[in-house]
Amino acid sequence: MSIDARNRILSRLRAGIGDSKPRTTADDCGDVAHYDWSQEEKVRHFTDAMTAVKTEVHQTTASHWPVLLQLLLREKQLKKLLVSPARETGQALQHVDEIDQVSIPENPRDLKDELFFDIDASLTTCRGAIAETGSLVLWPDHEEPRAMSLVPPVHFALLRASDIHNTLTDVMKAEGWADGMPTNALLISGPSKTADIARILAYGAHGPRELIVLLIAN
Amino acid sequence: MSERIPLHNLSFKERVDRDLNDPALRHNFREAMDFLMDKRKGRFTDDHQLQLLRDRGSSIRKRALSKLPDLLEQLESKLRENGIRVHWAETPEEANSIVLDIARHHGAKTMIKGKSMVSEETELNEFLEHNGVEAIEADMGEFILQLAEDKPSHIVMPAIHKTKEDIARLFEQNLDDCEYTEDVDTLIQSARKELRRRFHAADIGLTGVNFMVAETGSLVLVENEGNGRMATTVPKVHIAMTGIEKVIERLDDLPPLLTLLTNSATGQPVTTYVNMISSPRKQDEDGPEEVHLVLLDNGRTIPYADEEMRQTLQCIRCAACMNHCPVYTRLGGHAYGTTYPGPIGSILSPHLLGLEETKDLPSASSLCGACGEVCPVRIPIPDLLRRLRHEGVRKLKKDEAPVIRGHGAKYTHTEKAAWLSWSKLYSSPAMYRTFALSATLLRGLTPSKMKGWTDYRTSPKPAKKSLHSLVKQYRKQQDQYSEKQAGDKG
Repeated sequence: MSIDARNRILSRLRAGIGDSKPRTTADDCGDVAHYDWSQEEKVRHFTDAMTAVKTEVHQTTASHWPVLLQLLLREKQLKKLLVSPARETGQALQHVDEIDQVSIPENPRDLKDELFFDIDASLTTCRGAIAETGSLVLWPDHEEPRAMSLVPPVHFALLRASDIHNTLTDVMKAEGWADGMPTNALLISGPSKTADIARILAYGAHGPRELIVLLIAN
Repeated sequence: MSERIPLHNLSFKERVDRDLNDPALRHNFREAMDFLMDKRKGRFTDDHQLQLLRDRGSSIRKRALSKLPDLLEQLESKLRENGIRVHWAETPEEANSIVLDIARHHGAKTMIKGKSMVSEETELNEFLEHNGVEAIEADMGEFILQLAEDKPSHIVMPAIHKTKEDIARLFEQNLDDCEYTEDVDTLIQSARKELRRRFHAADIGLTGVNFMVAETGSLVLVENEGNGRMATTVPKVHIAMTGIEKVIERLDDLPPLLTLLTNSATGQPVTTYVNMISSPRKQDEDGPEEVHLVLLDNGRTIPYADEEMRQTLQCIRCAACMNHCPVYTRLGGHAYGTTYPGPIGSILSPHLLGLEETKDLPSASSLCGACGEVCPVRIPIPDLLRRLRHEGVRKLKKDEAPVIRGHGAKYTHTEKAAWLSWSKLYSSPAMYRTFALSATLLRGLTPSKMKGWTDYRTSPKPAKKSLHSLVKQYRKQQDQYSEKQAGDKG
């Protein structure tokens, strides 16, 4: 049935094209915004856009961030932290016994129950970020699965300032996304939110209620 | 509001009457639309930039539509290559059966849903329920409507017609351990708790799609809550359902459309989540082991065949046209009686449902032009409304194929005859003068009651003198005056 439906839909569309010519990118008009931001400006735009939607951005350094993380966990009374032992995050925290760490298991799907009902926060790395919109770029994989940045109530993200790009277009071009997309590519721009009840903004709708970026200056 | 009569039992006029006479509803919509218009305006501060961006958005959509069948084939083969299964449906019934077959294949009892207007279009929930599969809406707005057994009244903010108090009562009655509260944070947390359990247990996640990228075989979902991400991450099967027109050619076509969509819809530079899915989970990853895409036609191939009406399919569903529409703002979405309300609904629904069912919609507009001015992809909505009005009253020429189902649905002999006499009268000066003269002389005979007109207005009595005769009189006086002046000087 579906094959017939497919062929009928496509042949209706082909008949419907009539005399109209296919357009090419050469026919495109208009433009998008371009930015020529310095590293400093990128950090500023990223931080402004992120904090405008209630994300915490903490500037830190490559050596200091574990201490900062520890402080933030204590301040927010968060106990169990999910980390990936295979990433720089997990490796840096390997000997930090003060943090109650849960590691991503061999098969990340084994973690489902604990993830849903037991874990307070997660710490992930980021592939990059976007200054224009204040977005983190994540390509989740088996070491840092998709649910990791979604299910725990608080999400910490470790980001290097040098990985901030101007726009989504810039990231896609620089990294050649069109040549091969991952299973899942994500932009995360703030904590989960909704205004579906009387247009009043509430955080923590289905995803994390808090997003905290640990931004490592160069 | 639960005592509301189901939409389809009332005529368009009855629905309009009902909603115009609901002050609370009108207040809600006025406030909400003002809010959304302000949010958009606050983001688009540089008009020059905005116009360039709209040009780009329009170009991208026009380019994609100009080769739609090829792009759909490219998309299909890319998705297959990536491991995503593609299904095609000509009708809502076919689309629903495809979803049910997948559910049955997996022995699924529950399906958790992200927001999908196409699943509203096919009335999927009712169909699944009828066939023993529970469908649970997880978008907060849709969840509220499901509890209330109500329908969306706005395509971006579906429960915008519900007040805090309505929702507090609903949650108190329907959710475990939820006491009456008007505190929105508490209400959202109650719903989150309930829906988390549902996500954890659901067999299948079903969502809509905002854009499909032919070049890479990617499904793009845009949202703020995370329900879309949950539905595409936690259950072992993900079904995406969308219309055939949502495809774009290249990955770099995506960023400008995302910018236009989120800024036009809610005045956000970007939504909290942009979720790009290009395959089922690979070994050791999390996410669904199967991903399906259901592509629905349901009448979309009809406007495609007409170059002017094809522009209807450029729509990216931002809802800016309804937010800025004076008619929608006063009526709300339910009066339209269709899945897609407002200006875009009035030009799209006639194709999906036929003009017999929707003949009043193209006229439910003042043609003020606001919708066309804000449309991020430059759909000339007012022109298309006029075109549909014309198709609704036009008789087909000999051997002419109709461009829409229900062509001529509004044609009446009386109206045709009235316009025929009007055009005769107004194109003959002699007849026009006679008419004007008799109208002014016999003005006393104007009836004081005229059906339709005098319900809300006074009777239109012609003036004592016509404009023509007043101008004539004025000119005469001027001439006499100039002559007098000339005489005085001499």
